[in-house]
Order: sequence, then structure tokens, then C-alpha cells
Amino acid sequence: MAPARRDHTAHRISSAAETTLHVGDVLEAFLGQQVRGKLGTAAGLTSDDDALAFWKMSRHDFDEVRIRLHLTSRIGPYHRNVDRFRDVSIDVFLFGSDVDINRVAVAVENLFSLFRTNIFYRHSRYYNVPGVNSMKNEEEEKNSGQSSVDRRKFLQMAASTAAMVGSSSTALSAQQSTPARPDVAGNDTGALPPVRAGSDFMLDVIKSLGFEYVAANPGSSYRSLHESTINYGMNRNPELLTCLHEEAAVAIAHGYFKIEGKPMAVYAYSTVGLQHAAMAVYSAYCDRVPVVLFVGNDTDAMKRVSRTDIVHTAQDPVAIVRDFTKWDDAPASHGHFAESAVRAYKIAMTPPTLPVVLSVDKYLQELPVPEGANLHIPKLSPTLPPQGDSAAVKEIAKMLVNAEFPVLAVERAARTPAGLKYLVELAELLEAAVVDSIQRMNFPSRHPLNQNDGRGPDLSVISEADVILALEHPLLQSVVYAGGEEGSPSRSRLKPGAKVFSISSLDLFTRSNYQDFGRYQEVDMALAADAEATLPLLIEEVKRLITGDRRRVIEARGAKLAAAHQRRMERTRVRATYGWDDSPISTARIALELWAQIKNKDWSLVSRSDAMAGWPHRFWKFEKYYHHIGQSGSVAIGYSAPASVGAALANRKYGRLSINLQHDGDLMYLPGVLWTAAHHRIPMLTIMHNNRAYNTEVMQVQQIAGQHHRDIGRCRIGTAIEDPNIDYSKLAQSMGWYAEGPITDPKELGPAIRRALAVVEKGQPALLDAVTQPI
Amino acid sequence: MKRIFALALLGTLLGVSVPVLQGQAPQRPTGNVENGKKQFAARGCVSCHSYSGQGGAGARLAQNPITFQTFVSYVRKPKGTMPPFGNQIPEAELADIYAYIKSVPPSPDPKTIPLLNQID
Repeated sequence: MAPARRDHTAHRISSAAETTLHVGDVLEAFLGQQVRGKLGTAAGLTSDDDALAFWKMSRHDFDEVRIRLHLTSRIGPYHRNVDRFRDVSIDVFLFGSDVDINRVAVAVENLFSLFRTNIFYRHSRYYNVPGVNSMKNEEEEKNSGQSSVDRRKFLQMAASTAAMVGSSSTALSAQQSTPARPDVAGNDTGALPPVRAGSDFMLDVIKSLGFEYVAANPGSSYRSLHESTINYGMNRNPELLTCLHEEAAVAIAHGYFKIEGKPMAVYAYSTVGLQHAAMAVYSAYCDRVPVVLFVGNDTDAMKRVSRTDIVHTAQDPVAIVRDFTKWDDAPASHGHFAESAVRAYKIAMTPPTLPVVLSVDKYLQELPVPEGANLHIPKLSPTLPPQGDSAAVKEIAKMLVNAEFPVLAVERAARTPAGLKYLVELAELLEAAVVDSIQRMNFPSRHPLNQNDGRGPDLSVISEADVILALEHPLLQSVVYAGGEEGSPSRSRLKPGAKVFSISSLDLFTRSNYQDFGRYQEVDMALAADAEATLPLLIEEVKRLITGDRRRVIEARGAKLAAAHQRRMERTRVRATYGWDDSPISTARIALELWAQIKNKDWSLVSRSDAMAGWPHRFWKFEKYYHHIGQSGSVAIGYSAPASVGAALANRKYGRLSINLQHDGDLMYLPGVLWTAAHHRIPMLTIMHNNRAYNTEVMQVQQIAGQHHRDIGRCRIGTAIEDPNIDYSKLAQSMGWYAEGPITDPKELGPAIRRALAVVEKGQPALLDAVTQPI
Repeated sequence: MKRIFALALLGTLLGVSVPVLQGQAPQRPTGNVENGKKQFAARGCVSCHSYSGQGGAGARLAQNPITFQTFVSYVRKPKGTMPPFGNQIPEAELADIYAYIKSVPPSPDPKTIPLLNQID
């Protein structure tokens, strides 16, 4: 029960007492609540008290405000027993040893109260924040309090009361739960002891899941989690990454996973934060990347005060991303949070790995954890990825071994470095052509069996294939079929009698609304299983089935494919010379200038794997799993810059050199990530692919203008990023980066790369603004 | 061949019209290389063919033995995904563009580029 609204002094003193909720632990808070109740109803404060209290309040001397405590003779719903009637400061009253609390009387009263309906109401009330509950009328509070209690709270209250019986007021501090920071714990010097906030427990849960970082743009709906992260958790594991946009936060988490192989947490601000984040969540979803989002929300309408609280709250905030997340929940208690957070992590990491969201009530975060509360953090029990049916795997192995020209079509076959190893082993056993869409580091770029020349896989091998095995490939139909654009009939590339098999975890999880699952593709056998988990079994079976005769056929096929690869490589060398000395600089020149200086280092391409028109993929030796991070999944602009920062962050602890080949249009979606990289000392070399346009869109509009027989020359209107030209070096410098440019002379590029690499190797980010050919 | 490109390059530098000597067409027009370069960018050709016609999403035009008449016909009514320009570009302007792409010097031999020779 809060003081009546007209009783200003009681309100002020109530507020002073209420501060204990934020610095003390359960017992102190409980006692403070009693004081509040006392003052609000039976304290008998008179108007004479107003002047003194106001003066003290105006000086923020809350702890010097004198309160008059009136002894009451009976225990009632709105009375408390305090055996003193004298002036005493609040801090002395609550924590001082010279206050003699009638512990037994208070305890007895509380035990009595346990059996009263309004004990629930009082119990829930003491979690309220100052000034908010006072706006509620008594009836509302009763109703809300009654409806919100459960047996857990009843027992928590009982535990609090029992603890109180056996303690002196001096001992109250000593009974608090172990403080997160001993240096700020309560002591005799007057320092206020820390509160064990609900968000502290939530952070314990988050820590238990092994998150290294949490990416976030600040917001009031998760302020308690924020504060717990930096103070209770001391900003370590997870460390808070300051992001300037929620989309950046999620995309940073996206890129981080691609290197580290485990999810990053993201805090997001209720409705508007999640709305900002939505695009990046969709990219992660399409790219099968787990991100664990914690979204604050003002669930209780009675606690929404400001316009911001009201406008930024939703009944179901996760609805906006539910179509492209795997699971979500809105826990109603701390215990519920623990279960749901661990469950969310487990679901996110079970193939197909996907984003998950927890909507976390703002006040549940701020709600203190009662002393003695039996909260438990469940053990994370990861789900083993499903392996394909063994009989079906044997059948596929038999078909592959007996095939004249088997093809492996892969999209996200390698979830981990092990997947890369397995795929190489299988392809080499069979000497099978590999059609890799480079959504993951599935297969070495320069391997003779790789049919991808950097701009996309050579699909002509599909026409030769008699057996195709697709691994985690939702867009298999677009591999098998040619044409079909703009209403023209599509035709199958398959030769008659060719067999198609699929192994994909996506068959275990499909949403309806967004169409990332691709066109329907007929196959001869589909295994709903994780490809990487199935490959060892398939490899063993293939090994078993390869006989001497088949080995000779297989070796001949391998020699043929290797020769074709060599011819393709020679053509690529010649193509690289086109416009070699041109200005703007050719993308091939940039790739080769860079390769010459990084090839002997431990490097990692942290931008889109088809960056710089795919030239790196044609010449660089992508062999290790971290050598590239694949694509965005959603093919959306705005992914690459933040994802590169996340991936570079993950690379930092391994001492790897992170290379970001950055499209200009992409950077301008979220240029603030440059600041985040500088602020968090994330070393990386960014080279701009500054063609001063959304060039793909230029070509798209040109094509349509042609169809409409209209002026094709006007198609840079709305697509060009010029007049004025953006000075990316100044942009980067303004956010703490070393930067040079614009560089238009190709001869200047090599020395500039050398200087920039020297900066990066000292641990700083560096950017070179290269003005490039359109593609 | 060297003489042809020397003439074309000279035309480019001087900004004057030079006869298009390569890809002999029945009625071979003259073209202004400098204006052709400007129009090549202004008409949006660079998006697919790059600033010097070296190709990209579109075909490589530099060092392409296409005749002027074939060039004009293709621009007006192309195959594939290239947008049809119809009569949007006057023939004289196409002659300038043709002169420009014919003026582009050949690319260096891969063996003369050390960075390429480092690729095994």
C-alpha cells in the first residue's frame, strides 16, 4: 500500500525508503516496505513535517529525513509493529545497529499476514518502483497483486519471514546473498549493500550459457539487464558491445557466429528495437545462424508511465519476427526465465540453427530475487544433430559409387570445420564435381573439383550428372532448373534418368510465410537429417563400396575435372588483366594486390564471400573454415559491414587478420559499425568497393526501361551514390579509424595496403577507400 | 594493329574524331572517341561493361572484333538480358561509342604481371 497521493510528505519519505529496494537485499527491502506501509497509513505524519522533509528532500538528503514512527498496539493489514517512537534516520533505522526492531512482533505479524489475502498484494507491491505504484488506486493494486501471486511467492515470503525471526537488525546485511562485487558490499562505512536484482539472476543464466559478448543499443526496457551486465557481471562474459543500431547488433552477432561457431546474445529495446533489428534477424534466419535475443517489454499496463513506455510496448512484441525465428517465449518469473533461456539456446543450436527470442518483462528484470529463493539454472543439454537413416545412407552411397558423373551440390553443408573436412574427403573419394554456392566455407576454393569460379557455380556439370547429392541446399530447384525468369518457361538441366538425393535438416523445420525454403524440387530420396552429422556414415559406406574397377573410373573422372579446372584457371588469369591499369580500379586488381600481401598471414575474409565481384574466390586459397564466412542468407544490403565487425571480433582472440571487402551501398546502411569497431578495438582491414552506385539496381532498372522502350540512360536516377561523392576515408577517420583515400590510381593501392596492414597489426581498424569499376 | 591503337589513343587524347579503322563495316563512320567515352558512361553502358568496356555483368567490348553494323544492330535489338536501346541513341553517337571502345588499348599479357605470376 502506497501513501495516499495527497500526502506529499509520506510520498517523499516513502520514496526514500523505497530506495532500499534498489540497494539492499530482500530483508532490507521487506523492512523498507513495512516502513512505507507504516508511513502511508498509520505514521500519522502531519503537515508540520512537510517543511522539514521538503527541505531535506530538495538537498537529496533522503537518509537524513527524520521520520516519526508511531507505535501501534494492534496488528492490522495496514499497520506494522515497531517498538520505538523517536526520531531516527532511515538508513540508521534500516541498517543501523542502534535500532531495536521488535523482530518477533514483526515476524509474527508477517506470519499472520501470510494467511491473509492482502499479503500477496503487499508482497507483489514491494517490487514496484517509486512513483509508479502511487498512481494506482488501491483496488487496482489489490487486483493486480492478487492475480500475480503464486505459490512460489508465498514460499518466498515465508522464507523471508523465517529469516527475519532469527536475525538482528545488525545481522541483516550479513545475511544478504553473496554480493557480485565485494568492494561495494554493505559495510559499516555507510556504503549501501547491493540488491540482488532479478536481472542479476538472469545474467547468471546468460553467463551459464557461455556468451562472450552481448551486442546492444541501449534502451530502458532492458535497463536492468544492462546494469546487471556491466556492474553485477563486471562486463565480462558477456561483454557489452555498444552498437548504434539494433540491426547492427544482430548482424554483428550473425558475423560472430560464422567464425566462433557459437551464438552471441543481443539485448534489444522492446518494440522499436526489435523492429530495427528485424531485418538482421531475417538475414540470420535465412542463413541458418543462431542469435539469442533478449527483448525488454513493459508488460504491465499499470506500470507504463511515460509516452515512451506506452508507445514502445506491445502485447506480443516478438510477433514481428516470429515468422523468421525458431522459437520465442515471454517468461513470467525468474525461474521461468532460466528454463526458457536455456531452452532457447538449445533450440537455437539444434540444426537447423536459427535465431530465438525471449521477451523479458522490464519489471521482472528489476524485481529483486527474494532471499532464499530456490532458483535453479538448468543444465544445458545440447541436442545431437540427427544423422540420416542408415539404410538410406547406404543406398545413396551405392548410387554415388556407381555413378559415372556424380555431383555434390552444397549450400550450408559445413556447419563446422569438421563439415569442411568431411566434404573434401567425400568429394575426393568419389572425384565428384562440387557445385558450391559458398554460403559457408564448404569446400576449398582452388580445389580441382570445385566448380565455382567466384561468380557462382558452373552449373553446366549438372547436365552431365547422373547422380546429384544435395547437402543442406534449400535452393536446389534453382540449381536443377535453368531459365524461368519473368514468366519464361524453365527447363530442367537434368539428363534423363539422373537421380537426385537430398540430405537437409531444413526438412525438419519449415515456416510458411517467408519463402526462403525455395521452390519445390522433386528428388528421388530426401533425408530429413543434418548433412554434416550424416557425412561420416556416408563416407564410411562409400569407402566400403569402392572396388578396384570403380577406383579406375573414379580416378579418370578426377583427372578430367582437374584438367578442366586448370583450363578455367588460365582463362581467369587472362580475364584478370582486363582493365588492369584502369582508373577506376578493377576489382581483380584489388583482389590480387591484397592477396600478395596477406597470403602468408593467418587471414580471414569477413565480408560476403562473393565480394569484389568474386575475384578473391578465383585466386585466393580459401582452405580453412575461417577463411570466409559465406553470404548474408537474405541477400540483403546492410548485412556485410556489421557482420564483418562481428566476425573480426571473433577472429581477434585468435590473432587472425580480418579482411573486409566492403561495398559502398552496404556500408551506408549502418556506418555506425565503424565506430563500434574502433570503440572496441577490433582490428580489421576494410577496402571499399566504391563504385558509387547500387550497381545491380542500375542494371535492373535499365533492363525494365528497355522492356518499356524508355530512356535507359536515366537509370542512375535513384541508384547512383554520387553528387556529392561520399568520402569514406573521412567517414572512417571521424569514427576513429586509420583511413586513406579516395584511391583512384591502381599503382597507389599496393603501398596503401602495406601501410594499412601495419596499422591493423597494431590492433587498430583501417580503411582504404578504393574507387572501383562497377563490378 | 599497333598503329591503329596509336591513332585511336591519339584521338582520345586530342578529343578529335578519328576514323574507325578496325572492324571494317560497309559504311564505316567516323567517331569522336572523347564523346564516345562520355556517352558510354552517360548511357549507362558502364554498369555492365565497365568504364573501358572490359566487361563485367555484360560482355567485354574492348578488343572485340565486332563490326560497326553488328554493334549498332545489337544495341538496338539485343539478345539475352541487355536492354534494347531501339532508336534511343542516334547512329552518330553510336559511332562515337564504337570509336571509344575500339580505342581502348589491349590488356597486358598475364605473364608480364608479377601479381598474377604469384598465383600457382
